Amino acid sequence: MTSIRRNLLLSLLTGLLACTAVMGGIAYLDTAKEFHELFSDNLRRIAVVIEGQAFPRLASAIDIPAIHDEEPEESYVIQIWGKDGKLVRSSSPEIELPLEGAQGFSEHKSGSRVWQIYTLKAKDVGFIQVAEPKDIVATMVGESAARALAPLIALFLMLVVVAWILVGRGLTPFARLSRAIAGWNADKMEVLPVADTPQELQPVVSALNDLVVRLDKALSMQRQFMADAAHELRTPLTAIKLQLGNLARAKSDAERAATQKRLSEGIDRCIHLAGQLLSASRSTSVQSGHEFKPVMFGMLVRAALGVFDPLAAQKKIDLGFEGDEECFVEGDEESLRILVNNLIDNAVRYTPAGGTVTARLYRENGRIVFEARDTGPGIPETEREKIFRRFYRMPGMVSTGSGLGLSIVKSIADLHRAKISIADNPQGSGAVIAVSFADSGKSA
Amino acid sequence: MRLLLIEDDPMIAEELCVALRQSGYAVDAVCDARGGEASLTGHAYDLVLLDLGLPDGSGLDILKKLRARRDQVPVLVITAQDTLKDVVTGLDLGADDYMIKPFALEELEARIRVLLRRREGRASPLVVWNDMELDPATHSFSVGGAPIVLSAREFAVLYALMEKPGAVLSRQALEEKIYGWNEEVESNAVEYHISQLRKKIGGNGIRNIRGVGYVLEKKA
Repeated sequence: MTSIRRNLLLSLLTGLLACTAVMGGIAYLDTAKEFHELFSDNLRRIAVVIEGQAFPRLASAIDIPAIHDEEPEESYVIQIWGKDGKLVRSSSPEIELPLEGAQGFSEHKSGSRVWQIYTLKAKDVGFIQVAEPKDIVATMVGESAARALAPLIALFLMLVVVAWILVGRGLTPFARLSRAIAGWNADKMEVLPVADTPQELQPVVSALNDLVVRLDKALSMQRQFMADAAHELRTPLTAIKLQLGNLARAKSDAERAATQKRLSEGIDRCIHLAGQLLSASRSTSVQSGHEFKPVMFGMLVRAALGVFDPLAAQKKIDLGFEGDEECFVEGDEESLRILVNNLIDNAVRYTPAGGTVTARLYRENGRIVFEARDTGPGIPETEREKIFRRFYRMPGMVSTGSGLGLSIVKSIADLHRAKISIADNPQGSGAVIAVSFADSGKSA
Repeated sequence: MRLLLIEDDPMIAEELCVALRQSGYAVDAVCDARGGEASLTGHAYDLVLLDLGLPDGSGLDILKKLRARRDQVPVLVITAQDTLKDVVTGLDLGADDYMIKPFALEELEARIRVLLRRREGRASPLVVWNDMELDPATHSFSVGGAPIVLSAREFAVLYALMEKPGAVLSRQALEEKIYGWNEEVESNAVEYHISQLRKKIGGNGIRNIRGVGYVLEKKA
């Protein structure tokens, strides 16, 4: 798992470390160079001082004390050479250093040590050489330069602490956001405040808010559906309960048989409603375009006519088919079957005995149209929008339908980007509900 | 007893009609608010069973109009809405009682009896006149403690007469009490039930005032 805090700290610290290292390196080298020059200059000065003040006496071979520090290791070696190139005096005779020919700096390796030597050509008298071991110089320079690094290291440590705190503080909007989201549940999803959100987080927050609104809508629709469904279930259940009560009271076999028949119708009604509820939830859960296949629509219509034929025969309704069976529609077969069944069921249900219901399937303007024509009471203009609502009943209509059929048809049609239209039956009274689909272009 | 049932669901309406008629009530059933209004303005009912969710309006509107014209008929609301608000609104608008779907027939009938009894101003569930006792709950009837079996129609006629003792009920009024609209009524049906009743409870229980109607005789 990646962590912004860790990544940020890691890269920040790496960057700081790199900068500090470069700065440290430069400071070290710079300081070391300065010190080297200082030490070298020191050799020269000693030589000059000796020349200016002490040389005349040295030349006349007056003794001078050896110049050295407490530690002989760190001592300078001062040599005075005659004009003839003979060593006149040496502060440390045990250290042998040759006379360098030219005035200036030079190096000489003697034993395990390398010496830095400054040779001064004194006026007419000879040479003064001042020497110093290079390793001791290096150690001293190193130590001094290292001391110069100390404040840099302290600065680095302080920056680490500051970076740690600032990164943590910079990430608090994330923490706040995650706390707000952690407080969400199905019952309580609040829109997050955009105003005090940093600009960088605003796309996230507005996307989340969008999601909240959509989820909330979906959830409340779901809740409404549940409430409506429970409410609608009460009516057929009440009927069954009353039918059962009457069955228990029946005094004759004929009465009992009649009540039993009504009870069985009541139970069928419940089963129908349960089936429609299932279809309704299915029609909203199938995703748009999800695994659509060419469906032979004519087969669905034929199958539906088979299903409703007994009911139609019982009601003395002339149920028939007209048109072209060879029509294919791109879609979800099960959903389309429900659509066809519901439209024919609806037509048969609302058509009075002796009427006619016709299922028609035809091509028109590059679309495939399925329609159910009935000779029922018809649907007035003002009701044509409303009848697709869940559990809506047309005023004045008495029915034992589920109140879901057309709303299911609508959502399945929407899923298939099909258009629904309602018209009066041109062959007299009644309604025509037509669903037109894009032609899948396939043919048998 | 004549009841008006305003209920839009045909199955529920049918079962209620079957059950209530069997219990000796005359029941008129309508399936929408318009029919309900028409029935209530045209007829006198002993009780109204009112469904609230009607296809062409709310039962509450019927109730409001009913009480606005000071009709005292007891109203029992039948509803599928069980939220407190609906119940309270219904009662405040003048409903006498309410039942939430689904309900049992027995309870509905018991509540109907309670409302009818209250309307008659009785506290006792029994209707008593002289030595006659009539129990609307069990449909039992006795004279001087001896039980007598009555048919549903005979029971309805006697109940109507005993309900307001001393009141004279015309043949027409009695007919309305025992038959709903869609029931075939023989022209001499009331006379027939009266004669059957007289045979069962003794000759002098029910008196006919010629040209006016029937009344229960008060024993000296």
